[in-house]
Amino acid sequence: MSAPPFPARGRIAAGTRKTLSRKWVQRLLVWGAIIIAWEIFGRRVGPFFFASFTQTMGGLRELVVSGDIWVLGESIQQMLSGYLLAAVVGIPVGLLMGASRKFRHVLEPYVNLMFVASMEALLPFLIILFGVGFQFRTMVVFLFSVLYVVLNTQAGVRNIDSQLIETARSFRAPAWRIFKDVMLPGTLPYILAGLRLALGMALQGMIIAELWVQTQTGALLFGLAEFRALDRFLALVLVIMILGALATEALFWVQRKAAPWARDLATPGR
Amino acid sequence: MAGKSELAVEEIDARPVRQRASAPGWLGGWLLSGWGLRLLSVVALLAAWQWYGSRPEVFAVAPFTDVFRELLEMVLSGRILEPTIGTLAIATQGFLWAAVVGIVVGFVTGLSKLARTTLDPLINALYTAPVSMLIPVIGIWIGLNVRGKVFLVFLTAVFAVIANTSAGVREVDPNLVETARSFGARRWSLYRNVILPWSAPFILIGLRLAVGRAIRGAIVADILLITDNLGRFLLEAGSTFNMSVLLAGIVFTMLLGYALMELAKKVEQSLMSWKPSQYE
Repeated sequence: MSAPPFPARGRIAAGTRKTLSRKWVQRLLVWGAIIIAWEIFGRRVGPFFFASFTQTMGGLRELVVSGDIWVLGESIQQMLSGYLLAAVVGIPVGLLMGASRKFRHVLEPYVNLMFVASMEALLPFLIILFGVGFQFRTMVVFLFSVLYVVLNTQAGVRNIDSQLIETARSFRAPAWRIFKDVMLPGTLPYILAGLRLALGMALQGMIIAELWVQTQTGALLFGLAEFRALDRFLALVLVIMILGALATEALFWVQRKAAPWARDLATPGR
Repeated sequence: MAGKSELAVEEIDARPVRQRASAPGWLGGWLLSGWGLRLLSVVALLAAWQWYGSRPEVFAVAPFTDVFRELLEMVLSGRILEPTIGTLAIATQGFLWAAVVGIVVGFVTGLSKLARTTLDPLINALYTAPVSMLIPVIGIWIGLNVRGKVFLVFLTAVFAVIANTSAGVREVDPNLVETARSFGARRWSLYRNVILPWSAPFILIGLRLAVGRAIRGAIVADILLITDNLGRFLLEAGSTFNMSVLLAGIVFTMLLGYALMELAKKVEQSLMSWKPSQYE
């Protein structure tokens, strides 16, 4: 994790531009080769078991033309409600747990237990509590993602250099300014990292919940597999994968923009 | 906002005093200190559960005592043993596949710069992707049997191993590799004596994460792919609305996952007891 010494700014720009273009040439070549291998594999195995790249692209067009793809949009909208709930609950709880020993002592065992335990086991119970509708799916997404927000926020608060706070206090900074100018900036990269990891989990929660109650995207996935429309199935899987990767990448970008001083974070992961 | 910030700052400020403050002088002080608060919160939670579960109009939550009795009964009678072994067998097989494939693939992608630039984005995308979306086609590709489940577990766990292994290989100090080279270390000796031991902590982190993912994958497979083992145990209790059995089963399953993760952590720590100080 040792940082390379900083060259002058102009030289960085020129150097990275060159390596950037080479990187993309390499990527295009290797990804092209993978797509060709996929195409050959798909044609050999036949549409009953797999779909080649061109068939999958055809499937994607069918999904878009028929409008089936918008089911995914609805699923994601519902997922976002659970995800936002996780953020709204998780960030304050994480801040409190990081800042107050008492809170941490009380909540830590539950949070740690839930974090490593298999949340999936709760599904049969949640379905009895909430039914099969919107509430159930929101709760699953919430439970899957909230602990990532809590634990990362807490880690962020606890990683703040206590000397910084001492210094601020010795300059008689009022509490709200210490919070705003020392604690919040120090915690922000961790909160964003937590939100990024939580997004992946939210997506997983969404898929598992919808597969189970067979609605929306889950129902579409099951239906396509049942009719052996593997071209459309693989297209849908690809779209979900790319959306997840793009969203994660976007949150990474926000993290780097909003907190450029924080390089690499050791974040709790599962 | 203001209230919270004051609390936060006060507590942060109290940190250096912690060691002095933690010695309990009297019972009340102990009760308000760490372990006392913890104990109080558990007692309060269980009491609330008991009170809520015993209310006649609540049917979805069984009282704590019923659940606890049921949990003891299913463990002591051995009724839970067979489903547990079934789920763990699937998790173990999937984990082993993921470990072997993940370490090999992670090692190769970590060593090659070309693989790093080209394959990393794909591996990361697969790492975050919800693998369970493939459940509807696993029956077509592998079959609706134990092998299909093992495949699902494998997919759930393998990318954690790949990503961490290749990250570990990259973290090896280039100076060490230089030194080993200048002392005449050949390729395999370099891999075995320098790169593997230095990336071991990362590989072990990947394997620990894979343990958790494998168990969760096995439970998803037992609930969603074909109902069996612990999944069937839970679903049968749920479908007959036998809430005390259902909740006891859930508590058991979650504690099982917790225990296995703790075990994995212990194994990791004991294997890494020699590790260089910079990994602390």
